[in-house]
Amino acid sequence: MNDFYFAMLPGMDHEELVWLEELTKKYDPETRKRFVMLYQNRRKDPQTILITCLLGFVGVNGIHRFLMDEILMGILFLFTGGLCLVGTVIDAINYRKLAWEYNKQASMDIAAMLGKF
Amino acid sequence: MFPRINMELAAWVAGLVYLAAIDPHAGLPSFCLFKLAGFSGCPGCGLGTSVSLLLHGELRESLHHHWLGLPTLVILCARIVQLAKIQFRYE
Repeated sequence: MNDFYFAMLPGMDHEELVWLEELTKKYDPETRKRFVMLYQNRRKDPQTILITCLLGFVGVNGIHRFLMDEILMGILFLFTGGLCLVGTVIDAINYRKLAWEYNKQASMDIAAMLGKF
Repeated sequence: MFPRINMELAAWVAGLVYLAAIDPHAGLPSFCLFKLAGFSGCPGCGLGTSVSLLLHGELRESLHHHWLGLPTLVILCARIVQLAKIQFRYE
């Protein structure tokens, strides 16, 4: 487990890398290891989000919203054909930001959880 | 530093402002990509008119056009609040 571990997660970009380094810089190696294990479980690959989003053009809309725990938006997308596909196009353009929004929240949840024990 | 506005936030706000500004009875231009692609329609058609009617205070007609108009407005407002919180918390 070295310092480059975060960089090996799929679809990692600069902003996320800097954020994770900053968040875990005071951790001892053991805590850091547990953080990495929990984080790679919770993390969503941006590419997965993009692919499930693009499924809207050929089949079911809104799977990406369900993946990111936005149940209400997911139901809305499902029943309205992704707001007549307009919402699907917006999300396909914006998929990196959507994934990062979810991952950032996940990383903060895990940090809070590790802080307790 | 120039704040980077989230595109999703801008899109939802612009959409709702547009629907509030137009006259819903005049008939909206169709944004439906399914229709533009040659299909006869999709489950979301009539949603824009429905939300627009709702923003003008005509609940009954709104429900007549699309039954998801009211839920859509509520969910979009919730999402806008959520995005705005994220946008302005870290600055």
